[in-house]
Amino acid sequence: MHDDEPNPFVDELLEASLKQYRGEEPRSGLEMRILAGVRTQERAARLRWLGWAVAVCAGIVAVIALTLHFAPPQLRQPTPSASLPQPTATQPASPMVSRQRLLLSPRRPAREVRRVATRRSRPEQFPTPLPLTEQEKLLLAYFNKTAKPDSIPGTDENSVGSLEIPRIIVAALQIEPLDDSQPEKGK
Amino acid sequence: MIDAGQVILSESVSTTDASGGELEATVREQARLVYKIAYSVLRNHHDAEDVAQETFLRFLRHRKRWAEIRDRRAWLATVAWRVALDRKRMPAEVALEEAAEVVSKLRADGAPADEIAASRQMMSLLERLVSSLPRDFREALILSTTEELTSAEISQVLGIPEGSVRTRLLRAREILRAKLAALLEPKHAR
Repeated sequence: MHDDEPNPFVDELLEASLKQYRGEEPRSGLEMRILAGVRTQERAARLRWLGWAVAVCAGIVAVIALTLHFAPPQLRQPTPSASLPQPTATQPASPMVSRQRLLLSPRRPAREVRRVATRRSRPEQFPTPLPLTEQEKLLLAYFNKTAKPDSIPGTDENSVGSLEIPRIIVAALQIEPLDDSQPEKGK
Repeated sequence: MIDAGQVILSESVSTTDASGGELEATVREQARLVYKIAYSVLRNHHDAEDVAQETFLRFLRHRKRWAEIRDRRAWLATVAWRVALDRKRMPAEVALEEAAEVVSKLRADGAPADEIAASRQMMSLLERLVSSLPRDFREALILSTTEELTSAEISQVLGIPEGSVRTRLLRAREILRAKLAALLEPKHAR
């Protein structure tokens, strides 16, 4: 076969072609271009990562804000201790708190004062009545002028003693004896 | 040009912290090797530079494990080889008969082998012949054509024993020689 026969031209051509096949040398400035490209891509990757981080943080903040916004009202109301005025040194203690107890527990004066303040601020009626409006005040004044409770009989407690109630006479009941001799009509 | 390059280098060093200096040194030492490996696969300057850049970018992102890399040159060669193979597209179909006819005509005209080898037709012919080789032989031959890697380094890149590399190279050349001789027979030079 011709494959086994030595062919110097083919050998020489193959070697020369393989040398050409190696390709040309890289163009000048290859290192600079590589480094510049690496730097650019690395920076872009960092920015991309930063963008994702910001987006995730914004999402978390949004979720927290929405949760607080749609939370039940009692969760959003401030605690009484937070809304109460802070105790001051000049503020006098209430008589409900024994002064001796405060002196015996120097570690917890703030808590005691806060407790006193809570007691003081607690309304006697719940819900706390609102002050009367102008219309309500006028209506009340009108009733005070026109209504005369004395004229209504029985409403005056002082006049209860002088009220005379006529005696009620009830006639005595007369029950006739049953007559057994009569035949039973209903049967 | 050099000043602009120095500016780029210094800027890149400053942006990549302490690893910038080591990266720069590695690029200076191994850029040519990486480029030639990529070019041997892709046969295109732009694609080869892109692969070289991608290779060093992976190297930079791997910086926490630089100490674990025993042979940095072989590591870069392997990465460049794999990246280039991933990017390799199917070679353009070359009219084999037409190219062989042109080469035979040049030979008949008495052109020396070097001149024929430099012709575009001969390059196309050889590329087609190399791409038709079995994969194992083709890979060993392509890596050997870079003239940058030793047999031991090629064996590291391909993950095969060094003896196998030599055997495959020898066998690849035999196949190429036989196919080339068959193409250049007088019947093809009609």
